[in-house]
Amino acid sequence: MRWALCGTGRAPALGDSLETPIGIAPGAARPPAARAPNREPSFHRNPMEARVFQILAQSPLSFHVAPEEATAKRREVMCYIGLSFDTGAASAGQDAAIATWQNSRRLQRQGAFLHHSGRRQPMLTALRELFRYREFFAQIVLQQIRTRYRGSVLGFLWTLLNPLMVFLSLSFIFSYINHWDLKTFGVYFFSGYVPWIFFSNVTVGATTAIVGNSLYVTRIYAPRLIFPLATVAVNLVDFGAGLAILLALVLVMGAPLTAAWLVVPLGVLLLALFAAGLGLLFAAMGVFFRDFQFLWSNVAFLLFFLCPILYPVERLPPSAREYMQLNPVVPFLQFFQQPASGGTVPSLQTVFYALFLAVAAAVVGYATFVRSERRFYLYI
Amino acid sequence: MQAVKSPRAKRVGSPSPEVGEPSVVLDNVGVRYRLLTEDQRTIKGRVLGLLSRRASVKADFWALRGVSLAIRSGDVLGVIGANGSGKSTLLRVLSSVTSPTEGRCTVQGRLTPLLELGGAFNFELTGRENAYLLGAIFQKSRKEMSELLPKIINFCELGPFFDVPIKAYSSGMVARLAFAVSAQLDPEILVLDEVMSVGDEHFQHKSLMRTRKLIEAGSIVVIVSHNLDLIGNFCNRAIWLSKGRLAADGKPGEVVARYRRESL
Repeated sequence: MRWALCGTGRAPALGDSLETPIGIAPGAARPPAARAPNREPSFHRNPMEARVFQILAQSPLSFHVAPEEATAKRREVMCYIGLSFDTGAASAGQDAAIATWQNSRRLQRQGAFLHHSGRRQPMLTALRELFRYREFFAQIVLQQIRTRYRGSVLGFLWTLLNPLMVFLSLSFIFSYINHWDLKTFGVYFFSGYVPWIFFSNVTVGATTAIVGNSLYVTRIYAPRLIFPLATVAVNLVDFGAGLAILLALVLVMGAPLTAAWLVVPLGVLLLALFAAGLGLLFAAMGVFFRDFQFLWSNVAFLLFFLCPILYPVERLPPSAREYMQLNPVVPFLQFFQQPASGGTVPSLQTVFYALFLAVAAAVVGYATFVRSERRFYLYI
Repeated sequence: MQAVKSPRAKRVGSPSPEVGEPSVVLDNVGVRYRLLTEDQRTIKGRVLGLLSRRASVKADFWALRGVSLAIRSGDVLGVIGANGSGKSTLLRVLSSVTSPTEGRCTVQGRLTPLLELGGAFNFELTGRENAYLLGAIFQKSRKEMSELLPKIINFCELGPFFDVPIKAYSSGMVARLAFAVSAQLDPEILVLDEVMSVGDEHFQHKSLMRTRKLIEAGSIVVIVSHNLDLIGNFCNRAIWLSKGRLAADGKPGEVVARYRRESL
């Protein structure tokens, strides 16, 4: 009998204190390391097996039974999970659970339905998991688009109508007050407004992405990343519609359609990455601080006036122009404003600056999000 | 090592037969909840708290502590315990809704939880739309769901209500829909939280039969219920949770008897 090897001379009984690991008599002074996870009694050759022994030792099978009967019971349990009582070696009925532990990495690589909770997933695993949930992602996006326009007569046309109204009203007012040329100013304004409103809607929407979807977050498992990213996807649809209107406006106003427009897709990509990164960060912030959404929507409103959207940069005094460079949204806007109103492309410096900002935001946002998502349940 | 070739092994896409069986291992799992006041959840409150130098009170409590369990294929595990003993938290950990604060939970197999009434249903959507939504959550494509739909409609017996927004449903009808969809999703691990108690007798019987079939196919079923007779009759293993700790684990008859004796 293995128990005899442990130095107590008797098999542990089920009535023993639960705190006592197998092999140590309840009365005996317990070495302080006995409960440390990595210091198993030396007779276990296989660490997994040792862990299972430990689990069993702690699990309270403490029916009030005679010691012999208890030993029999424990033997039954040991056989039940597939370990032979006497030899301790992995027996014919090795439990799938233990195998799962040993093979978890390999299994995960091969995409089995395996989930560890209590550990952070590596990024690649997380992204692969996200891909497996693509159907749910699509449903969330569609649901958000549908509920937004449900019950309205014009339905999806609102997506087009809203920017058009903003364009008409603001460009008319400003050209009337400032005596700027309606055509030039209108296109300039709109080419900055469309990317801005995308950025603003994504970041403001993301602050409530987790809290607003608490139905899903608290009741089922789905990668939490889905919810802020769905906000990005929904707004990308609006962004596309806005850009289509911008293109139409440029053509209607008779401005030349130059090759400079080819940088616009790059601008969309970089801005989406930047907004998604900040969105992930803000989604996490929105969980921990309930008033963060109000704070950010006000900051975003102020930021709008700090961006050269309602006015060209050239109108600012040179000293103010320096500070304009500190506004992190400005380089992204140039991907749209320059081709639309000047037919030029942003400088290489601007492109790299935007790339840097987008990647930095994505890295910081992702890292913050995955580090904090395990604590979301405490705050929702 | 025995080659356990369960009929499911292939379907999960699990590579090696010996690990193809569904299993759940909880290793010293603990879940800590934090009771937060409104001030602790806002920036305003935090800033004011800093200024006034009030010691912020953190009320933590452990909903689960030191729970170690190995559940394997064919187990029908009943979970009993008083209100607030950690039963629902345990199911949340199993379903990965809550990550354990300490310890580790490893789940292998397709797990379908039926936690609170209605689960992840969106009450604005119809029964049909919700079926697709639930399917999507469990990674079924639209096409696969369309194939399953006749079975679901047949099982839930909702008739014309299937195409009505489920906010118009009675709680029994929601439970029926939830169970019908979940059971058809071919779960390898089915987690049920007091779901059986809502439906009428006919549906309860029907869902128990369906659950039995799943068990015969090698699924794991975890049931939380205050209906001790159900646990005693239906399960082949039971655990008793008391104040977040595992108080007993064994044959359902013995555990239920002990629970009755010591806590009622």
